[in-house]
Amino acid sequence: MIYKLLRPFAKQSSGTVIVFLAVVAYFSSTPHYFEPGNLFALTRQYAEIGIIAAGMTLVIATGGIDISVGGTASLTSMLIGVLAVRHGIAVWPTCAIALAFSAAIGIINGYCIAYIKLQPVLVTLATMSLTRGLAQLLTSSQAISLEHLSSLQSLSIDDLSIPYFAVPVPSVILCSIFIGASILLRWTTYGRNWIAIGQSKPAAALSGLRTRRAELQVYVILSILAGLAGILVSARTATAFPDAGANYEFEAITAVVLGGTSLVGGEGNLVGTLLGVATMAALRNGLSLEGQTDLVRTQVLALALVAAVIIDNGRKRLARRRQPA
Amino acid sequence: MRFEAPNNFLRLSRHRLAFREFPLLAVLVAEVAYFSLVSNGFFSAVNLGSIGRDATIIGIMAIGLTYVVITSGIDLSCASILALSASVMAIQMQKGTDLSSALILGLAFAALLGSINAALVVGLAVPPIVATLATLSLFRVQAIKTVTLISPLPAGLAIFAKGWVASSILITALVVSHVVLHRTTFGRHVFAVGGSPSAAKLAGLPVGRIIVGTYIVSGICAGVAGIIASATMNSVQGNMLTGYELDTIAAVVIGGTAITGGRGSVAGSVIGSAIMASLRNGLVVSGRDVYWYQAIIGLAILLVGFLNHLGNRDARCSA
Repeated sequence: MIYKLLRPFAKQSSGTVIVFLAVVAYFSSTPHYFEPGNLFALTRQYAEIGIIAAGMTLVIATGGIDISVGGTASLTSMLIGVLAVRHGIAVWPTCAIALAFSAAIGIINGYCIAYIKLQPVLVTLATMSLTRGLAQLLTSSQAISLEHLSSLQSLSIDDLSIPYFAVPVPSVILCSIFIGASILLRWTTYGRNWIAIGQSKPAAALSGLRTRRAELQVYVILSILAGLAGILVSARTATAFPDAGANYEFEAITAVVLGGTSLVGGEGNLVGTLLGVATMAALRNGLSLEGQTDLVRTQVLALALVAAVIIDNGRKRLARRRQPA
Repeated sequence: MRFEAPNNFLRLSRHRLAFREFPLLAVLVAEVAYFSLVSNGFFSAVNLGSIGRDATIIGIMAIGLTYVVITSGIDLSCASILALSASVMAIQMQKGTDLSSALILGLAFAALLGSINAALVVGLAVPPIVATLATLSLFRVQAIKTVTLISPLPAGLAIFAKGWVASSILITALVVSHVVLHRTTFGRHVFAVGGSPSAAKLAGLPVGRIIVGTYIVSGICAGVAGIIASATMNSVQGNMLTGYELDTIAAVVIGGTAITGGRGSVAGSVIGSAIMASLRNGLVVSGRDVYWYQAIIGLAILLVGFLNHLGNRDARCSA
């Protein structure tokens, strides 16, 4: 069973391991880099990207892509601010409403892509614009403080104490989502359908799979996870702000590709994605500890994205050369 | 027989205009009429002029983008190319390089940036959306790092801010692109690659080189738009026209160019740009929140996609 989970990892992610080790080695001399406090702060912060990357792996496995996740996260964050603070609704119903909204975005994405057969790029570009616009419209681009919502903040700040360890709640959420997604992808018909669609949609349809429904599923799952990430950001920063989730699509796609899931579709490697997220976290954190500006970090992220795709292309070319025909 | 060609050409263009662009023009007219009714300042010479300038800048970028989209690619980096090439141009002007060489340098730099996109997409097989998403932020950050604000620019540049100069550049670009796309081998190849890349490859077309060409055209168009934009504002800023890539993409898509490739028209893209520019302006002038604009762009793209889908279905049914 473990073998089944690790096989794609071993096959596709040797490059990721090397990149991860290289990044860590590069920053090893940076002060405070290996301190436990820093590492825990990192897991709280990077759980958001990780959660989205898990869903993104599923979408990319079907051969699609979703660049609206950052917008969905920011819309969720603003909805929490408006509903909980301005309208005084209790925290958990608010979160449920916000998640329902993000699911609706996922349904729009999935419906347009699977049923109307529009290009994933075009649809999610449109919903990105739509969600970011709505997020700013809600308060005319004002941030809302959530400081008095202590039950929301506990989502990010609290630790779950397992014997001998205190594990941050976001990490627990992240791990359970990764385990859930792995189970879905490897051991259920859902996952098998998604992979089949990624390998060849006409073949999947001809074999009688409900391709449209299966495609709709992955986009809805991803949008709900993006909404969850939006809740976690608002909890961590104790503010609802329209810029929440900026660059999330970037970092999530980079983590997925870095982890060895090909953008062409037909394969999904969640263990690799987790390592890809860790690499992104190590990179980003190292850059901030070195005192680099936001601009430099954005540039490094963009380069990392391109580099990840190029590495992945090289891997595929090598694999093809090893087994001709 | 031989003399039929030009006649046929005219008939074909008229045919296209009647069927494809008429609904678009109707949308534009309806939009302008609506905003003129709900707000006082909208239908004035000054305001229409500023819409025209915005539409020219978006339109020139959209013309370049149309080439890329017809080959079923996408270029999200066009507004960033605009800013970075304008920055390079402005630095040259500040150093005292004479106007024409600075302009040529700026355009050459824009072409270079376009070829970086092309190298990523064709040479390194990075999917266009990913490659240009990355260069979108790479070029933008580079522009912000290079130039915060350079103003005023040399007086000679002001000629590009004149309405008739800018619009004649737009019209020239439109006519040249229409002819290139519909009347030259390169244009036919562009459509062929978008229609079916594998068929084009089997037919022996240099698919890679054609795609490289489209990204360079898109880069150069962004450079030209950058010259007009900096002349209009009489300044160059690293963060100028941030987010205009969305307007440009919306203009191309609304203009009827299929994002799946193989189908498209530059005239449609230009009318689409006018629609986007008057929408952005109209919302502000009629006192609406500017943020509506971003939400409406998204809705508009989805709506057009949906309408195209309906149109395709009808075509399939009647066939």
